[in-house]
Amino acid sequence: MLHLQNYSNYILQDINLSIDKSLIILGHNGAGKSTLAKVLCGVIKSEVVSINGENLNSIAFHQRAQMLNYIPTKLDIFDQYITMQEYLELSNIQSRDITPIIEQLGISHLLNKTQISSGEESLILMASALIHGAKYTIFDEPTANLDPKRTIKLYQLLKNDSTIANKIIITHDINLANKLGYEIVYLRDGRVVFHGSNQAFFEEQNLQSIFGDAIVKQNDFYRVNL
Amino acid sequence: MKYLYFIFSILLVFASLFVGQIDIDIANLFNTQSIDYKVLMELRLPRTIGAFLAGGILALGGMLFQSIFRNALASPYTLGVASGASFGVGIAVLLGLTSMSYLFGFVGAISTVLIHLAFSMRVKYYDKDSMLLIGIAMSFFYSAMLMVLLYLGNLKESYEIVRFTMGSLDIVSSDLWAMGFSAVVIVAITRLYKRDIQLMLISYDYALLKGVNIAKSSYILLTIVSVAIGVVVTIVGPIGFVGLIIPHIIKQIYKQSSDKLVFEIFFYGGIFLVLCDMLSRILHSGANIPIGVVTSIIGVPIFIYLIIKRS
Repeated sequence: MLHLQNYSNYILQDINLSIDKSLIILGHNGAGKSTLAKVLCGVIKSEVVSINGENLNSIAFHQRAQMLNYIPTKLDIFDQYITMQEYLELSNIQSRDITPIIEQLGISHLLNKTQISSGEESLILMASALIHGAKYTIFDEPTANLDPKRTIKLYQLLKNDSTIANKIIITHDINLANKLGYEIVYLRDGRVVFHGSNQAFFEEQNLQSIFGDAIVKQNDFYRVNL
Repeated sequence: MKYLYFIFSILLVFASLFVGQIDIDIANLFNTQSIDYKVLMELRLPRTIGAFLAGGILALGGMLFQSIFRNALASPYTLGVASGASFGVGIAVLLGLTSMSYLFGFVGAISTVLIHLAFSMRVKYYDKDSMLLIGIAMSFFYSAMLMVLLYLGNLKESYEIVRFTMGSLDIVSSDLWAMGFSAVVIVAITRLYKRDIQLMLISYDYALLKGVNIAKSSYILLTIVSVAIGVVVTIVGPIGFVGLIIPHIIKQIYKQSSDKLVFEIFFYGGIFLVLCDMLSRILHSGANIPIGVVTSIIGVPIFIYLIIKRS
């Protein structure tokens, strides 16, 4: 179990979170979702994260890597000549066979490249997540840059994957949140204002109190009320 | 195409042995008692080998510093090693202990590294930007202290100190052992930390998430590399430009990530310094133009050409 105890910083206020299954983190822009994600995985350092009762700071670095991973929205590579193949190989900390994952995502043509489009980046990032295969993997807005077809593909990958036991997904896509069916945490202004089942979140009254008229349900889908 | 560069470089090194105030007659070289032979073995060869090793160490050091600090403007002197060495040598000169300048220089260089570490470790969580800023601040401090020494010294002493800071490749064979050892150390540590460096070339967060203890790896790499650089700077003085620019030039030409260019960066860093040394001896046959001057004058046009060509 991944646990955050009474964490506060300049954005977040008194966050108490226990995660032992897949989770979706929703919230307004600037609510603190990415910050929360980074605190949970140790990229932002703190003293109050623990895994199975053990403080994160006392777990060896290579062991932490097996348990936690954070997938950012965009690729962040300093050296402009690093190829996608190298990026993915460096993710392979458990020495998996990465060919099936590359085929599944249809990214073999990207492997030799050093510059790719943002949509292609999202696929590389997803591949990196699956190759790394950490027990708790946080995805920061994985479908943000994807076209509809690829969004569906990503959704199916997330739903069908069994390498990552606990997927923590930050997203703005309410539809995706609903279809994935995971537990939901809603952040507003740095506080957790909802933490409960998917079903409870999507009850009419709750949606109304959180989104007002911005979200409307049509047939089986939730749409932004433009 | 790249093989051509390599062959040309080897020829250059060979040619460098025959350039200088004293003409060497190849025919006489087979006589080990001849002046020609003595000049070659005791002056030219150590000088050329020393230039090659110094250039290689500085260039590779520059690459490592740029990778660790994630900053294209970092150089092997970023932590203040060169300033510390110059200051140490300055003290030796003012105390009238020029024969011990190596010792003072090296102590000066190492002390900056240690002081820097002491400061950096007080920053709560490892932060490379803080390390960079502390290094820059320390460089300024040591430069100011050096100016105090220049002020306190007489004309001759001041000149000696300034002359040191311009760099000099007047190397003797005994220097080569220390430089050879430093070269082995820096290449070995780069190999040993290959994966950590590769990960740092992506991002610190990425490295952390893949299980690297960034703080520890960075400290170890920076310290060991700084010591190797300290040895070089103590012997040849703070030769600028090589560490900063050669990594960029090599990456521009080979278009690969830095971790794959370790050999090329070391080799062509060395060749570059050999070339500059050769030019300094050709261009002014009376007294050699200081090497630090030549590296900048030759290097800058090459570098600017590459930048313009890049777009």
